[in-house]
Amino acid sequence: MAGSQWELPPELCCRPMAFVALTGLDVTYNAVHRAIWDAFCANRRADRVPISFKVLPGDHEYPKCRTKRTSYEWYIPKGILKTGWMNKHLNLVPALVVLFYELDWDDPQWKEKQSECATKVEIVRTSLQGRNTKVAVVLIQKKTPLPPGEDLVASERASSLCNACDLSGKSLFVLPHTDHLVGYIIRLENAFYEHAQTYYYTEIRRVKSHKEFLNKTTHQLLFVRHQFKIAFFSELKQDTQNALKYYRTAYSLVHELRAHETNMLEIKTMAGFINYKICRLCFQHNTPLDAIAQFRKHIDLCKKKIGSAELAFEHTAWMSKQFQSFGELFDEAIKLGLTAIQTQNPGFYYQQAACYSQDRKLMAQQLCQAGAICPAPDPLDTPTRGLEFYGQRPWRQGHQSIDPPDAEKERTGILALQIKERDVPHSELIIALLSNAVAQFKKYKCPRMKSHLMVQMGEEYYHAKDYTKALKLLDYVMCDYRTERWWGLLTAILTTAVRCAYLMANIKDYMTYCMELLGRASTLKEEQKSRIEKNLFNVLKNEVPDPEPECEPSGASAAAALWKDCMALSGPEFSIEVQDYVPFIQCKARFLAPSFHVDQLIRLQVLLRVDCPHPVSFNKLSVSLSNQVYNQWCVLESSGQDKICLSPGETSCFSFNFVAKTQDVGKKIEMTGIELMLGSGRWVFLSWRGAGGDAASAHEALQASRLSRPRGHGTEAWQEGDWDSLTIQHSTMIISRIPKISVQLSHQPPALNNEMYCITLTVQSQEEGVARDVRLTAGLKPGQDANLSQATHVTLNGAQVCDASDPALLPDIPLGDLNPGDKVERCVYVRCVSTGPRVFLFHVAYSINTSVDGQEINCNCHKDETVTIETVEPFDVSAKFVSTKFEPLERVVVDVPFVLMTDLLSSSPWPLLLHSSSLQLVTMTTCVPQPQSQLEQVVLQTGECASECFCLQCPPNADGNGTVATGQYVISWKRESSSPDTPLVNTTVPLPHILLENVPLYIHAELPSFGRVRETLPVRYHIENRTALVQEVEMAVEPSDAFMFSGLKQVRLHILPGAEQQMLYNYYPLMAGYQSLPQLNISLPRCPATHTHTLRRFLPQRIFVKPQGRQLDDAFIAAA
Amino acid sequence: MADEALFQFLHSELIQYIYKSGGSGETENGKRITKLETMGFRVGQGLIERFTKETPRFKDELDIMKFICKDFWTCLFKKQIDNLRTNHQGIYVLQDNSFRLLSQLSAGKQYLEHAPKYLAFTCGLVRGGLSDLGVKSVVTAEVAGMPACKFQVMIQKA
Amino acid sequence: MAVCIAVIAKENYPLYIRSVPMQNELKFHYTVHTSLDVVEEKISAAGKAMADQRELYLGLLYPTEDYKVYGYVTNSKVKFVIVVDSSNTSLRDNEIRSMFRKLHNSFTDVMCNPFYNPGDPVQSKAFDSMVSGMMVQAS
Repeated sequence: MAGSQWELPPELCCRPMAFVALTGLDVTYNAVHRAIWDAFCANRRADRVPISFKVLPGDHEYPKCRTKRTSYEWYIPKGILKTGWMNKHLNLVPALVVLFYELDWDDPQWKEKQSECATKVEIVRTSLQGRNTKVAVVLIQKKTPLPPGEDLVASERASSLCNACDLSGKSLFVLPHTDHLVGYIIRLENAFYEHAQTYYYTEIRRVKSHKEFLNKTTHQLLFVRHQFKIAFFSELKQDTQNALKYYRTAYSLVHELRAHETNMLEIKTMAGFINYKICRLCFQHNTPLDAIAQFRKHIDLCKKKIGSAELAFEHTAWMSKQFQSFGELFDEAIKLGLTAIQTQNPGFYYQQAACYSQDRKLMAQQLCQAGAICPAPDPLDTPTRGLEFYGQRPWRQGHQSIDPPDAEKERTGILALQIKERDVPHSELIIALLSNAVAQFKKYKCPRMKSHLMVQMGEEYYHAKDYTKALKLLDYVMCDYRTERWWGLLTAILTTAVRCAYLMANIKDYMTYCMELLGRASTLKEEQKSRIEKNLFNVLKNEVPDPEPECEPSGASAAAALWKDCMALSGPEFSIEVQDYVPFIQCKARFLAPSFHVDQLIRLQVLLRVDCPHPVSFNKLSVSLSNQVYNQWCVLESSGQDKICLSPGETSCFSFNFVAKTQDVGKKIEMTGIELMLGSGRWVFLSWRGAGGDAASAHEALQASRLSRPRGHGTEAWQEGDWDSLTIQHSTMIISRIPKISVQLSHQPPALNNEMYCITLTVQSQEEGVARDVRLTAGLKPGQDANLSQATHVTLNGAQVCDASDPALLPDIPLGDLNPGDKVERCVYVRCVSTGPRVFLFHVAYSINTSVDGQEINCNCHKDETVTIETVEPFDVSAKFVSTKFEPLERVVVDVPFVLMTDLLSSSPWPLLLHSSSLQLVTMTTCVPQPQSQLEQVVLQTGECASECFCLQCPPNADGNGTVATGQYVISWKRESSSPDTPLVNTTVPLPHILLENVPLYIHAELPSFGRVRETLPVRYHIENRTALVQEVEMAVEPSDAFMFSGLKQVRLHILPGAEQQMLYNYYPLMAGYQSLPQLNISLPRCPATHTHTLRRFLPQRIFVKPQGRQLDDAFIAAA
Repeated sequence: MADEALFQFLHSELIQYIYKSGGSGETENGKRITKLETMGFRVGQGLIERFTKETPRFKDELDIMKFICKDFWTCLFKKQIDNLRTNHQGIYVLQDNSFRLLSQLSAGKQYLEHAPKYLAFTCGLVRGGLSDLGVKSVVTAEVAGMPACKFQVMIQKA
Repeated sequence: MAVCIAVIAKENYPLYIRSVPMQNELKFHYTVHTSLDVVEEKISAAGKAMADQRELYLGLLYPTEDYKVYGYVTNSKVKFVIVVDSSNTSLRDNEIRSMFRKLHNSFTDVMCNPFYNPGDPVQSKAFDSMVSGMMVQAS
């Protein structure tokens, strides 16, 4: 790359490491040596000492050491730092030379080998004459050494070898060639490292020692040089703290040098080098703020040191490089773990570097005349193909005085540099830097910074005539500026883009950019817009547009040729999606209502407005709808040559109407796109997705809505100035025609559980034509609790109680046709078998012919009625068991009659007709065969109660002791108001369970219904033995005040199993009124559990005793 | 105190004015409430711009609500909101036990049916203020007995 | 004194930009636009990290070689950006603050103007002349 003049030399940028030369190794042919060398080279990670090893032949010639100057008195330095110096100490002059020699302690030819080794050491020493470089010897041995001190031969021969080679004991090493090679090598290199450290230490001392000979007037350059050298040696010694200190001193010294035009470049070059070193070390020491501060100081100091005005581009190039290098250092530090922040990241430095490169390009364009020819001989050529000192001019090397030695040479030199600069691919450099910066800003969340850099990259590509790349970048960022509404910036980018498109003769892009530049987002002046509009119209006429201003003439003429070809070749039509731009024609479309009935005309408007300076005419406007059938109605085409014209700043409204298809009822119609055809000779379709709008319209509408200023009066009208608040209505619903029928329901709520509830539906047509095919769907409205559909049944047949097979919803019951004014009535029966509310739906649908806008259509209408009906229980039934004495029973004694009493309490708001009731008994039998229902034909009003009683008996064979079911009570009923043919509803009520009981002895008394004072009252007790055993019974009658009696007062008798014994007593009442009968005490010695009390319940306790009356009374009573 | 009285009288007159124009009916009434609310919105936008000139940047939504309850309310109505509650999911209830614009009307349920129009402007003020601070919301008011009043702010997440 | 003063809407589009000298206008637009990256970062960081540092004045956003860019954000998230020349070292932080305060006051007046619809570009003459007073006078 031609920028290499400004690249930092690699010897500066690398990390200095101690240089150790290895000799006596034959790495090509000797496998052992190869293994040793590999062990030195392999795995040089951070944990190994920083040494750079190099294998050199034993007779290698090291750079000659110049004879040391004894006095600086007459010495005038010719430059600050020699170009070869750093490399010399990195790669040429070793800190230590190690001689490898294969020799075992017990070698048979020890003497010979010892002297050979000494000779080799001598050769190396001679070559290093005058240097402080140390020499060490490593003996490669096949045998594993014995522990120190044990091998007496070894220590003796070692000291003799040291003597022979003039080595200190510390410089002789043994490398046994055994399994643990790497371990030995690491120990060896650690020892080498110590030697190297010592070497660099001496070197530093040596350089420092010169200081006393220097004077401030003539040796200023040397001050810098020496400080730099000390610092560099410190680095080699890995003493980075001191290195930093000396570099800092060197840096301040370099700025103390007297700067003038001839040495400016040298000073800046050295300052740049030292600055680089300082920053690098600061990052290495993890003090990035120091690095940044140093760099800022450096830039501030050097910014104004421009040097020769004719070579001003050199300064910007150098500045650019400074920023770039710092950015790279920063970036490298980040890779090693440093954290950067948004406002302090390498991107800024790359950006600034790019910025200086851009300046460089401008200056190069200004300073380097195109026509100049390179002078011969080339003043930039030097005999050695290089410079002796960094930063000097090739044509006057070593020259340090203020004025150039030869004005003519100076002139040609400058000219040569200018010519060279002309060939530098500036754009390439700039783009590379910018793209580095982009990567950084992306990383540190600076999207806008990134966009800006991408714009610059795009512009640079434009300058480099790579229009495709330029447009790609510009297109990409345009979007960001558009969404952020930075119109000024967008316009600037578009201006560049339109130039690119022009120069490439890319018709579509060219038109797209022109359209946006003419739009309301463009900040161009009116005359510029006029020019662009003229160009746009030219293209629409298939003519070549005028070149964009600021295009260079040669490019423009090439472009004109391209355009001619394009005009002839490319297809005459294409379409441009404008939705995502801010085009010069704005479009908003709307349906005039969010919904239309199918028998209405569907109306929509397309509103257009142009923002360019001159009127625009178009050929065709078409709207696409989600159902393409309608598209044919939404086209506006200019007839012949008359085009439709849009005037700037005015809103033009185009209305379309169409009739919806009846099958689209219930569907949504959406506008899917709008197309506007422009042109004559070349046709372009501007297309909007949906119902128009563009990248800016949403925000404009929002702003307009915030305005509290009064606006148009209705939604239909809009006012001229109020374009922004016009809202888009991109879709409309087609809904069914409003039905002109009435649907009435008559019924008597609530519904009673289980009944056939009758709802009478009356449909009357108010249509003007015949309503055909009227259909009714009736029943439970779908979407309610799922259980309800199991508990609801609907039928049209009211003569029969419906069952579970009847559905909850009866669909599509045909009702025939309805003439205008006709009425039809239907009864729908609903049976609800659970209580609670239900919603019922009555949906009447029909079809009718009608006309819309003169067009006959057949449309389906429907009307829905819903009604919520509550279902309640018609009555409550309660049942209880009592004894024949009407005393509540807890248990029923087997084979003893008892009474079942039922109460039926009406809770229906409507009177109920009870048709009959019956018992369905289990276990029990009735005492009376086929008892007739006592409730037959009873009408029960709300709150009234109907009771019945049944005498039942448990048959003797029933298994006593335990609960048994008694059966069910069935009531047949209906509403009193219902018609005679309405079926009866049977409601079955389960009867309660009852406990059965067996008694061993059953006793019952036979006595008249009343007694009379002083008249005999015969009472016969029947005692039955219900066991299979003979029972012994003890009976006694207790005396009573109210009665006298005759009969056995106390008796003991035996009753055979299943037999009955009768006891007759004649009671003789003494007092009138309710009297307690004399108590009968019975006991069963065999069944102690059965005693008087348990038996007494069967017996009457009291009797009514009439007073003694007259004859007449008796007759009367007898009659009763 | 004159400025405060002025605001109250002007506010009542504003309502009178809005309610005298146009027809009657449910939709008309809604439109007038909206109109008052919109006016409040614009005023709120301007006011908040002025009131927040000296305040530090707000930490979060709650911080903003506290500002509305304290500083904003004090500037407008010479008292703070008595109680601020939130479900931490974007609903805030601001309770003013003696709302300045209602305190002249009644102390109880008399004229309760007129309360909405006396609150619409304030709802707009709050919504406008919040909107200017970057919080989109819907503000409604509720009165059980005057002059106490609850404003409910429902934040609309973008 | 400033070389460019900008008012940026809550949604980050420009409400007002004035700069001197006029030929560099585009560059200033870019400078202001890119500075929004830093503003956004500062605003978002303010919520979590710097609970105490909730000043409206955001300080120096970032320095470029030629300019220093300062930022300020109102509670309504309207941003003010002031660009000053890097060479102008005499300008102290306090002066920048007072410039922002003046801007804010004047902007509040704009907001309270019934003829201004919040979100529209600022076209107030009063605001304009206040800004002119803070700009470097082209001599």
